[in-house]
Amino acid sequence: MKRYVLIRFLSLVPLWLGISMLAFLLSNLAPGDPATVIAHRLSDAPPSEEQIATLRREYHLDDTLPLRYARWLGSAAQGDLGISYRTKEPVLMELATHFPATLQIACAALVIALAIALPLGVLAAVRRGSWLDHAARVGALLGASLPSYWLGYLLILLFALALGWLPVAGRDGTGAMILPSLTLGLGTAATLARLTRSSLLEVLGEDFVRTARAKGLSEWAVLWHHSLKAALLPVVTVTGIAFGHLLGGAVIVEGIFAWPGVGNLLINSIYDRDYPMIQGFVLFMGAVFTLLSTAVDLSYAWIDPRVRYANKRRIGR
Amino acid sequence: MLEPAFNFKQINHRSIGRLLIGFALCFLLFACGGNRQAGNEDELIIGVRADDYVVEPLKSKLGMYPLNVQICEPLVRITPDYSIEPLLATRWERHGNTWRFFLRPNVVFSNGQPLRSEAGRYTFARLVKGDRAGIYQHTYLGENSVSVVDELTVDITPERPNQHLLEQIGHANYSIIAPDTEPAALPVGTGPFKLVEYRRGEWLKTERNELYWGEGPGLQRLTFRFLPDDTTRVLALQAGEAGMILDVPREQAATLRAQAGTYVIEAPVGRVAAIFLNTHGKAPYDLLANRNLRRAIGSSIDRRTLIEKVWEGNGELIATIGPRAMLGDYAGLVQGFVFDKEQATHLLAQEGWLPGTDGVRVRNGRRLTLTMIAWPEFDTATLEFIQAQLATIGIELRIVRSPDSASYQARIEAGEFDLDLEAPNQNDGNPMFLPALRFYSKSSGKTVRHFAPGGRFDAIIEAGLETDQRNETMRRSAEAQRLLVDEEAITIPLAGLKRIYAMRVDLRGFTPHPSLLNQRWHTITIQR
Repeated sequence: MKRYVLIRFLSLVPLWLGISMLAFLLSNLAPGDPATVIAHRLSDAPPSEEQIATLRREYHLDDTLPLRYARWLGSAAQGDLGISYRTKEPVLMELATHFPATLQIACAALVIALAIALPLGVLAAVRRGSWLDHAARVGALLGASLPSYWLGYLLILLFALALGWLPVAGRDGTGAMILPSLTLGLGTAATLARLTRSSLLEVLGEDFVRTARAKGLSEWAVLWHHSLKAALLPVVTVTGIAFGHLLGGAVIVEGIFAWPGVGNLLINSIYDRDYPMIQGFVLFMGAVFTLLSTAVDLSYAWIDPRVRYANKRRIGR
Repeated sequence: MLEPAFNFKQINHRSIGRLLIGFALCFLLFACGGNRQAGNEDELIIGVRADDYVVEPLKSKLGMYPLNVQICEPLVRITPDYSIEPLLATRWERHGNTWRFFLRPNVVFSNGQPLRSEAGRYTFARLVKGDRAGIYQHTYLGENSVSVVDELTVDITPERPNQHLLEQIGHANYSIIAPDTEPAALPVGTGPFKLVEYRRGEWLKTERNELYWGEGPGLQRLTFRFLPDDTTRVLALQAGEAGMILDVPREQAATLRAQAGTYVIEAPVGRVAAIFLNTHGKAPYDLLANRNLRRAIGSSIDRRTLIEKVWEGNGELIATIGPRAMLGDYAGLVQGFVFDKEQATHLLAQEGWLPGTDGVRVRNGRRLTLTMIAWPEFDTATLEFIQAQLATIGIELRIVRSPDSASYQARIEAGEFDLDLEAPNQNDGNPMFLPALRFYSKSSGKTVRHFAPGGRFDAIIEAGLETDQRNETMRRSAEAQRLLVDEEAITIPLAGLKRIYAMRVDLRGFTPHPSLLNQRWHTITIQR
């Protein structure tokens, strides 16, 4: 198992290298010059060629792309993602400052998603074909279809304007995180609810469930002790991946709610062509996402003995 | 043997479930403990757009530019009609190229330091030192341009003759800071407010400067909250989280006007939406070298309909490229374009552009297709309106939308356009600012080469830059604009734009300035 884990982690290195290259190329090939943007931010008068040339020299923007990539990658390998053009702070520090805010709403969104999805999915499966099942399916479809920017405004209108219970935007107080988390979590809840329903329905048709019922176990015991655990295996996998998407999806939600997370940081960095920050963000989020996926894979092996056994055999060979 | 007070074996699924529900309810009760209000009677929260402050040492103008929150003050002030008033300098004299400023006595910075000439020297030396981007070349200030005459007298001598220094240093960029302080860490000025807390991208909190030399602010605390999303900003006002919001989207202004408890106010015109025509473009962007074609475009746009129907009345017909106040009595020298489609089609026919089979005009096998770029702030409706107007006279307009300023700048600098829609701000008191900056062939601006008429225009600009008489400068600026608009049709002014503010009804004393950078906040009070 240890060897398997080690191999999984080592396989991430080329992946990160690919992500770093993609991040570097995408940010550097986008139209727009960081030096021009910076010059414009300093004054309302259009900058001169000389001003821009000075700034380009200052930020080493005249060096060739491969040289700049090699320099950046070398520093990144040592944990230094560079200095932000926009804020003049180390990129890693900026990410460390803003990431907790994003993590906060992503975690809350996941809790909300699970709190909605699991009971809804189980109820829909247990009462298959009933009005409850239909309502849950329609709800899941709606949740998956509503764009987050629209849903966000709707939730603000209801909870902040009509009811006055929650703040519109910002990160002041615990209440401020509810609406962004809800906006972010509802879409994921819909996906997980549908998955829970279909997975549970599949398990409920298995032989071991029939056997359990034949032994005279109550329907609750069959569901809770025998079926649910097996049905949740794919849900666990998807939840891990969904968490990665929640971190990425926070970009739009953070914009609506003026939430000071990495999403807002990224948007501002893109506008300003802040290459170090964009590259650092993509690499950082790429690493988080791949680590999450690996952790989910490993936990899957831990939860499901069949996977563990298959891994052992494959490594043993 | 004592029995344990709690038996962990008693924990089952049901009790865990109850516990979780309990936690969730507590959380909700705690979280939903009432909505925040936009401050109390002495506090105002203003919702503003994105946080664009630079916080790099030497370059930082935190609290000054691009949003001036009146922590620091310049030597002079730009009034709403763009004239110059004393502020930290009570009077000034001019001896050749040297400007002598007499500082206001008994003024102290918010940290208790008295205002002395040294502050002026320190401020300008810092600006020049931090000027790796060279913004001070427009004022021609050098490291040794400022000298101390006595405690309250300071001389400023630009490195090159500059007749307009006085009008330029009213800009917030030239705000005086306390010696040996760095605004990137904490801006310390003489303004009516002092900084309490700045959290990047979230807010900038100020409170009343008790040491202020003038009439103190009517508010104890003034907070600027950064709410980049337009709709969220409006919702924050409606929910009472902000007492005032800036840059109200014009499509939402009518809704806010109709809503009880809020009112909407428009600033006088501080900038003009205008189309700049690329007269020096290389193929395929070379068509607008022809003056009649440019004039045809100018005559084909119904600007009144644009203002009334597309902008819902939030605009003002204007013939100049900047606020009329900048030209004083000479504003009438610029006539502007009259909507006249017949004249436009006649001009096109005269140049040999004849209608093709699909309605688009053709000459020698070349279709009359033009490309328009625009500042990202312009909405699609505006661009499509112009496109539709040009279509009526047989011009096909290709719109290239830029998602952000950086991509727009890349495009304009490459010269890959025929028409360019902009709305430049007038933030200082210099009447020559816009014509010289954008069209004078010797200007340092990178985009001048696309528009510069050269020759007579340059001579007018030079005459305007050389005179020290404000009236004469206004006349020269008006002459330059007449050449740009009426004679050469290099610029087509569409409309004067008004900044829209919305606020709760109990606010008093707010007088909108045409330039946001010169807006005064300390006059605002909350009616009790």
